[in-house]
Amino acid sequence: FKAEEFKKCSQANFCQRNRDKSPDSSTFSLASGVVHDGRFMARLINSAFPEAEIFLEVAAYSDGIVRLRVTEDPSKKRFEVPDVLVASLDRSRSPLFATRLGSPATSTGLRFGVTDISIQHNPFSVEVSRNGKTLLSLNRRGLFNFEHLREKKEGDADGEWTEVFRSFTDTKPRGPESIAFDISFHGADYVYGIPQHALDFELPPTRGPEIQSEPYRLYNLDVFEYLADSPFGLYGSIPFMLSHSRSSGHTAGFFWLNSAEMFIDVLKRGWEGEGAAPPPAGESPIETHWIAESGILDGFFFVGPDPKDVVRQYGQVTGTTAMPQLFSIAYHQCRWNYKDEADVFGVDKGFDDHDIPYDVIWLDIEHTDGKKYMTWDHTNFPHPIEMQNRIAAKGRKMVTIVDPHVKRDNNFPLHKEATAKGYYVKDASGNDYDGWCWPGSSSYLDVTNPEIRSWWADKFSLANYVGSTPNLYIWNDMNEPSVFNGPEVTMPKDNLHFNNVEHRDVHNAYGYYYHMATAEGLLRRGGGNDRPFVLSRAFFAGTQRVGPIWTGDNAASWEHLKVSVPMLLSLGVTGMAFSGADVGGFFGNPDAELITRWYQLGAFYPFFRGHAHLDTKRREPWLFGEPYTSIIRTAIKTRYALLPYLYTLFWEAHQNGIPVLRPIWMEFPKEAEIAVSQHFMLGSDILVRGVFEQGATAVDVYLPGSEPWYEAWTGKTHRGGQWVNLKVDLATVPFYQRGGSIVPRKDRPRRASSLMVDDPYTLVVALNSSYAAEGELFIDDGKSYAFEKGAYIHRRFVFANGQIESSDAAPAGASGRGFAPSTRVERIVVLGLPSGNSANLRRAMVEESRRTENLDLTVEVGPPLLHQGVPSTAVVIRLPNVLIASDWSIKIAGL
Amino acid sequence: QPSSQLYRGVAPADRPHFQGRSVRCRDGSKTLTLDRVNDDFCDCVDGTDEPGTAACPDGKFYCRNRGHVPLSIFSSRVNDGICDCCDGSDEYAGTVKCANTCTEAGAENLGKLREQVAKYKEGVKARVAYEDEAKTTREEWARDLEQLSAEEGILKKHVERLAEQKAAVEKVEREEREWKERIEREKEEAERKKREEEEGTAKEGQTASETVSGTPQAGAESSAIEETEGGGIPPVQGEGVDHFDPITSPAEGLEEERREVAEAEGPTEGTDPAKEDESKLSAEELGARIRARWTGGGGSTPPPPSDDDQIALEAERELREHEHDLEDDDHHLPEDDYHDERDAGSDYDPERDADYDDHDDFDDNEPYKPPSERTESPHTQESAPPATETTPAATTWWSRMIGSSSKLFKMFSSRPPAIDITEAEGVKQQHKEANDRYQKVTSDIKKLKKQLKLSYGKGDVLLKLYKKCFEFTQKQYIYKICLFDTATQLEGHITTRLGDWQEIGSDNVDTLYFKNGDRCWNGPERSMTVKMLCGSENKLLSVEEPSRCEYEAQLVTPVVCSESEAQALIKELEERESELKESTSGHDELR
Repeated sequence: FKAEEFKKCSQANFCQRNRDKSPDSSTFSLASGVVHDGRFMARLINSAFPEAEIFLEVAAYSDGIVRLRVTEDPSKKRFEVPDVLVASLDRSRSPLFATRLGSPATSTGLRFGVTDISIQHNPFSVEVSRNGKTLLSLNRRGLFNFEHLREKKEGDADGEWTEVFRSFTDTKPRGPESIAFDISFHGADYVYGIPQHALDFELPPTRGPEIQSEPYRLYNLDVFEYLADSPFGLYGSIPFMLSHSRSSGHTAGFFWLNSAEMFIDVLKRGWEGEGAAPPPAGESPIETHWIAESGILDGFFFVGPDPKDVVRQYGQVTGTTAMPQLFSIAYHQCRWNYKDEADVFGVDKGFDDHDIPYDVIWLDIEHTDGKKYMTWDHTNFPHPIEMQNRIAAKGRKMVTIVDPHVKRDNNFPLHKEATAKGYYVKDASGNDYDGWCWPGSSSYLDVTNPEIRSWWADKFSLANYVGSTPNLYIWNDMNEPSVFNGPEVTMPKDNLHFNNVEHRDVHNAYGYYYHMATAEGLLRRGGGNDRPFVLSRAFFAGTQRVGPIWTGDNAASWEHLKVSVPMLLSLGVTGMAFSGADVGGFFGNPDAELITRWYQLGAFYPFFRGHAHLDTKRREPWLFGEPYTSIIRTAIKTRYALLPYLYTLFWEAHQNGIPVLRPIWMEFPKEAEIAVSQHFMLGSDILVRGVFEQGATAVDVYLPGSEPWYEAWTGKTHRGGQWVNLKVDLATVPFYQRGGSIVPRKDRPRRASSLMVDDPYTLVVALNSSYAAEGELFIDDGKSYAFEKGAYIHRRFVFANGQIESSDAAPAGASGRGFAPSTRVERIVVLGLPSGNSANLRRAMVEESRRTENLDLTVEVGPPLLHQGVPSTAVVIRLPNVLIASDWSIKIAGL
Repeated sequence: QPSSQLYRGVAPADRPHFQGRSVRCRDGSKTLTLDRVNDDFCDCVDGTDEPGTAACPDGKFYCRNRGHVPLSIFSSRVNDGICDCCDGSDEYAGTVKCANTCTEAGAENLGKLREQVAKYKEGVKARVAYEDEAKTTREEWARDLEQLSAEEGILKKHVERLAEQKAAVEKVEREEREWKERIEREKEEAERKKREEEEGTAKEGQTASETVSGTPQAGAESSAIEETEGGGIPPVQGEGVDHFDPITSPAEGLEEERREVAEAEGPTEGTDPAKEDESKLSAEELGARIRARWTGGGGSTPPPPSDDDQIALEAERELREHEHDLEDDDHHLPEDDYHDERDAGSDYDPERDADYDDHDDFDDNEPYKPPSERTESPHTQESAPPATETTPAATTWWSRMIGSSSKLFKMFSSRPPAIDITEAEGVKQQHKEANDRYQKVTSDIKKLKKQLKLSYGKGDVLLKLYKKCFEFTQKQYIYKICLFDTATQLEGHITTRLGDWQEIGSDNVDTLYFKNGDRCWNGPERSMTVKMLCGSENKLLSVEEPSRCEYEAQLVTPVVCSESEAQALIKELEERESELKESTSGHDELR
C-alpha cells in the first residue's frame, strides 16, 4: 500500500472546503413551494449567491421511500447518473399530500401513508419520520452546500479551477460544483454500508474528539496491497448507508445516487469542536457528513421499519440480485495463471483424483495473445474449444478474463474498429485517451454510451469471440478503470465521455457500465435464455442486477481473512448479495492452517472462489497434505450439500433484495449483542462464526434470540441468547442451525453441481422450543429464464405436531409450469426431539398426493450429517422417497 | 436380494463381508440386515452398506472392467451421467448409455505394460552396473587421495627449500645490483672528481649532500621487497592483494554496480518511488512501473520491453558476466573472506582454506579427475567444462625439478659478483612451478575429500552421474541440470541460476533438490526439484514451473529402477496375460 499515491481529503479541494465548514453555516433557504402531480417542488435560495437557480423536488414511492432531488436549471447540464434506477420505479410512485404549506419563513409538511416529511424553510432542512417518529434528517447541522456552476473570475480560490496532485494536473474546466450536506440517523446505535472499505462492519466514527481519521472515501480505485483496516476507497462504491437501532429494532437508510468522487464522515459527538454551534437539544442521532465533487443531489430516504424492509426498499429503487446460474454459486478455481491447456487439465484431474468438487476453472490475463482480450495465446492455448469441451464434458465451465483497456496495436482488429468508430474515452483535448495497463499503451471503451455497450455486447457472440463456447463465461477486472500511469492509478478526471460528460462525473459508475455491457453480451450469446455470469471487480449501485463482484486483491493474512466478513456484510446490506473474497488471499502464501480456515469460511461466502497471485506458490486444495486436504474437501463438500438452501436464498435475494449473507441484527433486530461481526447469518437459518485466530483451540460464539441452536456437525443443542465457548480443532467449523428452521440439502456432493441435479434431497428439521419448524426450497433448471414463466418449484415445509408437511409456497398456479422434477427426498433429519421419545420411534406414515394409501417408513436414530465420526444425535426418517415437487405429509408415529 | 444387486460395486476380495445374514459397518457403528445393502440409503457413514450406489459420500465403487484392469472409483461417480468405468458398470441408472471399451483400452494398456516391463528390466541392469562402477570409482578416489596426500607432504618441504634458494638468489641479485651501483657511483665519482679538478672546486659541498639523501631511499625499497617476498611459501593471498585494489576492491565495485542495476530495473523495497519526481517519467515509464508491482519483472509473456527495460536487461547481463569472470578467476576470494584473509596474516593454512570449500575459490566447480581421465573428451550427454590444463606426468616433472635445483645450489656457493641471469630466472621459475603444483595438489585433495564425503544415495548409485549435465529445451528456454552442481535456465545469452545442488530427498529418495538460485523479482529464490523416473537411459523428460520460480523437472534414469518394482510389474503383466488367455478361451473366473 502506497498511501502517498492516493488523495486525502486535504488534497481534494472540494472535500477540504466542505469539511472545513462549521455547523450551522448553511446559507440556503426555501422559497415557497407547490405540490404538483403528487410531488413537491420549490426553489432554494443561496443567500451567498442569490442569482443561483437551484431547485428542490420531493417525491415518494410505495412502501416508505422518500426521494429528494436538488439540482440547477437543466441548461447547466449537471450530470445525472442514468441506468441505475430501475425502469419500473416510476410506476410505484405514491402521491404526496401537503399537510401544511407554509410561507417562506415557516415550514412545509408532506405525507404519504405513515411517512411524514417536514421541510424547514430557513435555514433549509428536512426531517423524515414514520408513524410520528423521526428517523432521518437532512441539514439538521447546517452543512448543506450546493455549489452552482459559475464563470471563472478574479479572486477565485486556488484549487477551485485547476488542481495539481503529484505530477498530475486536473484542468477542472467547470470549476467548483460540489455538493455536501449532513444526514442524521435518529435513534441509531450504529451506521453501516457505503462499501467498499476494508474495515469493521459497524462504521467507526471518522471525526470527533480524539479521532484522527480520513473520511470514508468512495472513489473506485485499484489499490495495490490494500490494508485490512482503512476508510480508504477501494474498487467499488455504493453511496448507501443504513442505521440500526437495537431498542426499537428499526432500520433506516439513505442512498445518494451520485457517481462522482465522494467523502463521508461519520461524526462522533463533540466533532464540532469548542465554540462551534452546539447540536440541537434533545436526543443525539448519529450524524454524518456527505461530500461529492459534482453531479446533483438525488437522495433516497428509506424508512423501513424493519431491516429487511430497508434492503427491500433499496432493491425497489436500484434493483435486486440477478438470479445466478446454479454453477456460479458452487466452487470456482482460479489462479493467475493456469499456464496452458495441460495445466488446466492437470488441475481438473487433481480435483477428481482427490474427490473435491469444483464447477469452474478460470483463466487470467496470461491466456491471451499479448493481453489482447478475446484472443488466445497460440502456444499455450492452441485448442481453446477442445479444452472447454473437455472440461464441459464433466459438467463444468470455464471463465476467461476480459478487461476494459484495449491494446493500442494497429494489428488488433478490435482496436482498429474502436478507433475508427470513435468509441474510446477522450482526453481533455478530445483525442483518444492513451493510458497504460497490462498490454502497455491502451485505450478505454466509452461504455457510458449505450451504442458502444451494444457494440461491445456483440463481441461476445460465438462467432466474434473466436475460441469461445457456450460453456465459457467472463470475468471483468481492472474496470475502476485501472490506469497504471494515471492519477491515483485511474483515469484523469477531465477525460471526456459520451455527451461531453467529464470522467469526474461518471467515474464510480464506469465499471458498472462495462460490467453491464459484458453481461448483455452473454445474454445475447445465449439467445436471451442463458443467465449471464460475469464477475466484476468495480461496482456501483445497481451492479447487483448485473452480476457478482469480489473484494479484489486481498492478501494471505489472518487480518484479511477476518475483514472479509465485514466487507461482505457491508456489500450484502447495500444490495450486493452475490459477492465473495478470494479464498486463500491473493497476495502472498497462506500456510496450511490459514488456507484451511479460509476454505471453511469461504464455503459460506455467497461467491466462493480460490485465487492466487502469479508470484505465489501453488495452492490447489490438495497441495497441503493431510489432514488439510481432507478438511478442505469437507469444507467444499459442505458447500455443495448446502447448494439447495443457498440457491433458495439467492431466489429470495432476487425476489426481495434480502442479502444471502446477513448481519445478525437483520434476523434478530432487537438483539442486544449487536456488534458481533465476526458472526454472520447465511440466510435466516444458519449462523456461522469464522475462526480468524491462528492456532485457536476455542472460540466464543454468540447465539442470538430465545430459541435453541444446533451445532450442524454434532446436533448438540444450545439455548439462544448466550455466549458459548466452543472448543475447536482445525476441523471444527462453528456453524449452527436455528431452532425452528428446515434446511434442504443434497448430501451427495459430486464432481460438479450440474451432476447433482437428479440427486435426492435431505431435509434437516431443527425444532424450536414448541417442537415446530419451517423452511423453504426453490428449484428451477438452474440456468435459464424459464422460471420467469413459472417453470420452477417453490415449496414450503412445516413441521408441527410430529408431522412434516410440504406445500406449494408459490402464488396459486404460478409455479410448476413446464418444470416437474422427479427428484425425491431420501432422508429427513429431525433435531431437537425430546430424547425420552426418540427411542420409541419406529414408524412414520406418508401421505402423498400421488399415492393413495399410507406407507410405513423406518424411523431411527442417526447422524445429523453423513461424515465419519459424527455422533448419532438425530431422529432420521429413512427413505421417505416422496417427490420434492409434490404435496405430502409424513407423520412420525408416537409423537 | 438378488446377488447382482448385493454385490454391485463390491471388489471380489470384499465379498465375504456381505455373505453372512447381516452386514456390519466397517467402523463398527452398526449391524444391518442384508436388505439395507445397496438400497440407496447410507446407513454406514463410512460407506460399507452402499458399495454400489452414490448414497454414501465417503464410499468406493468397484468396477470389474473385464479385459482391462479393475478400478475402484469414488461413490460420487456412480450414476452421475459420466462413464468412468470402461465396462460402463458405474452408470446403471440409464440416464446415460456407456459403451464397453475395456477390450480396446485393455489391449492398449497391456502394450504399455509390456514396454514398461522391458524398460524396468533394462533399467535395473543399468542401475546395478552403476552401483558396481561407483564402488570402483570410490576406491580410485580414495587411492588418489592417499597418493596426493603423500605428494603434498613432500612438495611442501620442497617448496620451502626452493623458497629459501629463491631468497638466496634474490639476495645475490640484490648484492650484485648494489655492487654494480657502487661501482657505477664510484666510477661517476671518479669522473666527477676528475671534471671538478678540471673545472675548479666551487660546488663541492652541494654534491655531497645529494649523495647522502639518495642512499637511504634505495635501502628502504629493497627491504620492502624482502618483506613481501621473503615469507617462505608465497601465500595465495599475497597474490590476491595484487588483484585487489586496496581502495576499491572489485567486489565493492560490483556491489555498487548491482545497486545501479537494481535501480534501473524499477522500484524495489526501500526505494520510495514517490520521492522521485514522477513528472520526469514518461507516461510509459510510469505505467510500466506501476504494472511491475503486480507482475514483478514481467509476466511469463512480458510485453515488448521499453528502452528502459532494455537497459536494465543489458545491465543485468553485464553483471552476470562480471560475476562469471570473477568466479572463473582462481584467485578471487569471496568478498567477506577477503577481509578475513588480510587480517589473518600471510601464513598459508590449508586447513583454514578448506573451510572455504563452500565458496568458489579454486575452481571448485571442476571435479577432481584422476590423471587417466584428464584428457578424455566429455561424455556426449554431459557438458562439464573441460579440464583447465594438461599437466605432464608427475614423475617427469619431479625428476626435472630435483635435478635443476641441486645444480643451482652449487652455483651460488661461491660469492662472485658475476651471476648467470638465466640460471637465476630458472630458480624463480622452479619455485613458481613447484608452488603451483603444490596449490593444485592441495586443491585436488580438498575436492576429493568433498567428493568422498557427499551422499550418492543407496549403493552410491548417483555417483555415476556426479557432475553430469542434462539439457531440455522448451520454447525459448534451454534448461541445464548438472547433478551435484547447479541447475540453470538459458534464454538467448541470459543465464539464470535455478538453484545449486542441495541434496537427495531424505524421504523422497527419488527426488533431487537444487536451492538458492537467483532471486525472483518480488519473489523467492529460484529452486528446482528433480523427480527421477525409472528408464533405461538418462534423459530429461520435462521441465515445468508450476509456481513462479519453483521449477520441477522429470529425469528418466536407471538410478531409481528398483528390483521390487520391476518384479511387481512383471507379476502384473503375467497375471494380465494369463487372464487374457483365459477370457479368450472362454473361461470365466467369476463365481
